[in-house]
Amino acid sequence: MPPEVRAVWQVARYLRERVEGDAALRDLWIGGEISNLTTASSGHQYFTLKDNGGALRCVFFRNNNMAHRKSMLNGASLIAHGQVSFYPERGDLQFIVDFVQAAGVGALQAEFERRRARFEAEGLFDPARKRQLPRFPRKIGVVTSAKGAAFHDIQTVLERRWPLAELMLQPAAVQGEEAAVDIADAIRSLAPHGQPQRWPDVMIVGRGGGSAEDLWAFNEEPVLRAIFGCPVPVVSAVGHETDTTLADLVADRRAPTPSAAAELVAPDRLEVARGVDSLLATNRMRVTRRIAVARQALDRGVSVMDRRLPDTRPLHRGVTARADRMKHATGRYVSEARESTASVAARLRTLSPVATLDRGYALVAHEDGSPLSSAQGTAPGELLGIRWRDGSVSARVEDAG
Amino acid sequence: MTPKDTSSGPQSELALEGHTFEALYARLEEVAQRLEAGDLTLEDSVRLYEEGMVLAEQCQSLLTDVEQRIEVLRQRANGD
Repeated sequence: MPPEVRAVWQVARYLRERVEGDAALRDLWIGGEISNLTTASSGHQYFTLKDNGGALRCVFFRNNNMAHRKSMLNGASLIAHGQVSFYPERGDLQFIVDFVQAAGVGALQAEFERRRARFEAEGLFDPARKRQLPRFPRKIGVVTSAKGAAFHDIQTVLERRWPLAELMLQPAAVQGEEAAVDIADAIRSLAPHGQPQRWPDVMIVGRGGGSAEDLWAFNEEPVLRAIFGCPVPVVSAVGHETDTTLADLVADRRAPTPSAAAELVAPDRLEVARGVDSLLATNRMRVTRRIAVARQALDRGVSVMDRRLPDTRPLHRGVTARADRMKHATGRYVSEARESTASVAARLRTLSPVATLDRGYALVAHEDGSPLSSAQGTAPGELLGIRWRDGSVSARVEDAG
Repeated sequence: MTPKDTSSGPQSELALEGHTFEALYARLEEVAQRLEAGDLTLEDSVRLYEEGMVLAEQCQSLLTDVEQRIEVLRQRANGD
């Protein structure tokens, strides 16, 4: 095959493609010493990072270097994060720096700090978006290893404190290559978007203690994004009290251990029971007071009524006087009537035939009792009655007229 | 620590007479607040107090007579 002459730009472009396409030259940390540091009027910084065996030209753009101005000094040893790039127009191979840390900081810590700065700037840790945990959760989701002690610890605490809640374990690998994606998937399948009826009320995401490397999955972007996007409040519980992960910073609440997370997500039933009792006692006190108030009002009403009743004593006196007068008047009437009755009776007596008999006369009557007032009214043989004052006899007519 | 799947059973039911603990407790608190407001008739306050007693009893029985229920969801990647 005959040789071919290439244009410079073709080779330069090829170099850029090779350099930028190489995963080993992306997202890497390089340790070295700063030299030839200049800060352009644009704010971008240019320097050389070198050690005993080599040197790399570096650029640190303004928007990235602002937070690191104090560390950027000639002669300073540091580790810088960024990617290697090739600038075809100038033929320059350069390291585009986006984050630096002092040389004494370990790689893991440096990477932690870099990510923290990045996600903080993005608002993942914003305190304003932290949600309140439910007071009495009905379902508590747990994302952790099915094998580790973390779930057992959570279960033990909740069995004692708040067995009212159902525990939903979504197992996930919590360390190793797959862990970050597995944890993220577990969070999403435990609280799937658009299916709120399947969601727990709160979720615990975590694992028991381990080395910083063991806990590293909880600093990985997929986990942070899943927690950030989780539709229910998340409590992180990673490792021990002294371990801090980025998952802790994204979560709505951070618990130092899985057991502590269990205490955080649910109340203690004994305390709640005491609360119920005290509410009941308070209610009793209030209703007792209400009854006392009603009784007082009743007493007051009665005394007001008493005072407002009309005085009936003069009336009583009036009634008595009238009754007396009536009695008096009736008495007089009765005696008058008695007197006049007596005089009428006396007069009647003088007119009565009985009075005539008293004077010695006799009364002659037919047999049927009707008076015989004339001699003409009799016939011989007729039986007549003769009545005196002191008795009667029967007599027969002998000779009429 | 093998968690057992007790997905059914009347004792593990959270609700009592169709109400969750949360609902019962919220109503109990509401009753307390209304009694505190003190603008009730005697009859209403006695009625509320009686309701509060029933609610408190239901709350207490939920707090004591319940067993923990655990559901282990499927491993997503590995199937069952």
